[in-house]
Amino acid sequence: MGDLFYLGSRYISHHRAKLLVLIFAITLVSWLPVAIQIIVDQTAEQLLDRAESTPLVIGAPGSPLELSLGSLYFRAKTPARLDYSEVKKVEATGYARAIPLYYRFRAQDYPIVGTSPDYFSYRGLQMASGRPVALLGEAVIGSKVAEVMSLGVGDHIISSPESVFDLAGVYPLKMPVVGVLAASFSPDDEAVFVDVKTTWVIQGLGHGHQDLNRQEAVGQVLKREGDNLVANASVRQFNEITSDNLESFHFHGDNASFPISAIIPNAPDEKSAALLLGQFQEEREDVQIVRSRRVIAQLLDTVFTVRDYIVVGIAVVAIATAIVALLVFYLSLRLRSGERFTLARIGASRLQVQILMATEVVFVLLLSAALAALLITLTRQYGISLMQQLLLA
Amino acid sequence: MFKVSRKLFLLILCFVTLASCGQEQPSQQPANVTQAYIVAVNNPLHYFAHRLLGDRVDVRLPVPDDIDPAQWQPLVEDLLQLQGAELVLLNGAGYSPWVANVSLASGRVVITAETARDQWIELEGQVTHSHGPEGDHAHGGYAFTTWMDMSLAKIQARAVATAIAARWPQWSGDIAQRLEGLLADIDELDEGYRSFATQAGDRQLIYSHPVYQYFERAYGLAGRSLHWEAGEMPVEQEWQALTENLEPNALFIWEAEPAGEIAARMKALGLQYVVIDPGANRAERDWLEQQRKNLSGRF
Repeated sequence: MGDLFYLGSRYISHHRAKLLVLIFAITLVSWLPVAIQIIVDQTAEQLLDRAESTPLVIGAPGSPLELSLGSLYFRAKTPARLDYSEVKKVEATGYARAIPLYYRFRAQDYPIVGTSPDYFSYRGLQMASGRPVALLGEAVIGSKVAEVMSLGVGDHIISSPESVFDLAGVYPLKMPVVGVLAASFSPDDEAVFVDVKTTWVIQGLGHGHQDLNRQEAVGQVLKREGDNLVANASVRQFNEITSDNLESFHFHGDNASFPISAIIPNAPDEKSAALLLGQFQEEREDVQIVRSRRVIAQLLDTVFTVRDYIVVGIAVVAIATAIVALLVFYLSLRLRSGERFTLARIGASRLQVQILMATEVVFVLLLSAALAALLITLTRQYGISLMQQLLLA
Repeated sequence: MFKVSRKLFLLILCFVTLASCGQEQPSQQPANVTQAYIVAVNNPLHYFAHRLLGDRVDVRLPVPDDIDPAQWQPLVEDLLQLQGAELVLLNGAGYSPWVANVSLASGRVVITAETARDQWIELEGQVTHSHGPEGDHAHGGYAFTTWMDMSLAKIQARAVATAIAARWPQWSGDIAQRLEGLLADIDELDEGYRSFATQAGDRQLIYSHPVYQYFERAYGLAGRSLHWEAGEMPVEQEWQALTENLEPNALFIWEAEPAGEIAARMKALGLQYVVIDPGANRAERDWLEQQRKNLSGRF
């Protein structure tokens, strides 16, 4: 048996280039259809899970898909704007509590999500360390943000300016991290949560500055009109909210007109959700209310269709590859007829010759199968996040 | 046979003991489950909510007894308590300015005087400011002791009732019934204060603090407001300023019973006083009793 193994290994070593091409081709056509199936199924499961836990989403008129993906995954680059007054309008129906979401801003690669304390109980998010957001300017970060940015309670995270050329626009706000969420294996792991008012401060709708009534601020007062002080442009605004300057933060204007990206209505039961849906669809044309599951299911239908085409294509390629492989094996056996003759002349039995000839085929098939199995396992582990990023980018 | 039985008995006993230890956790569970509660930011709202709900829901007033709720600044622990509340009853009219800079779910917040916004009294002499391209300006602030106008107190009581009935619709009938009783009591106070106003007639009125704006407007009892603390003897200049324009029939209205030496000085001046405590703080008596006590004063 050792001599057969030796001869077989020598043959494989001598023809390694040809065999490697065969192994690569067979591995690929075995792995690809299974991998696509796994990734699409897992993605579909995760997308639907998130959508099912968020049955309704309200946003500005526009693409329902963008609204759903934005409010579920905080991925929208330029989310459509909705007035904060809509929160009160949803609550006034009596059918649901309204959870605002404002996900326009980012801290490096991670979305800053302005919301209310109800979001955390709605998603069932737990604190791994620290406490929830209590004050303006505080942030709670997802587990992955904490891990990747090496941040913890007591550290600070800074909002990213939208454009380096917009000098008069959004200032970076330095926010203390007061809590880190436990991993939930959802997009919440990759988000920075603040109170919705903090996102308005980031946007410049609210700010803090020194008291203009104080003597040292006299150089910053342009004029006095009755009881109103008009300040000049030299008023220095705070870029960090601390306990010392918290009281100086204020908002100019009515917050009912301030922007948010979406509202998650938290209805106590399906009947209330249905009534809310009906009322908004019937009476409101200036906002859209979407059923996230339906929207995501439509997205997945497209994905499934594409998947089916790809799988059919791969199946055709697989058949062609199998035929080519058979041809290669057949030609290889034909080319090895002299080798078989020599082996018979030096005393090899018929069985030994057959085993030696089969070594090439068995080696290629076994190694291809092992590699395909390894790739499938890796796909099960890591393919989903890769696919999600491709889908949602 | 007996030994075997005894061993068996001991084994069963151990098993039962262990099993009962294991069962202890669920029995402790309810104690750990957060009970529904309401938070009110001042004593009148606390009273309204408690009166309307009875003991069915815990109504909390997290303000320490020695702090005026209007001046209270909640700590982070207080804010976390507020976040966990089913409802947070705010007064409105800028009563709790810290609300603007904390994280609370708007659906849980009830601004009880909101529907009477057009009746809020804007304070004069408050400096506002404007800057930046938008040029908007901030409000200088409002007088906030709204409940001292009993018609506003009724609006606030109704707002509390509406909010709690929406949160606990199963009790809405009972809440409506209790609200009727509460409104009747507030009407009685209203009558009392009108009678007080009639008795006061056109006497000169001096208030110890500028917290009676709604009271003055509702009952036609305009007067001059000082900044005198009931437990702190005013300095001589303040006494002089008081006596300069003092009419013989002047009536001084205190937020709380003045200290003995202050009362004695007033008596020496021939200045009559009464105590009308708005009852913002938690005290020995509830808000209604406090208001009734205000009306029991003689002058």
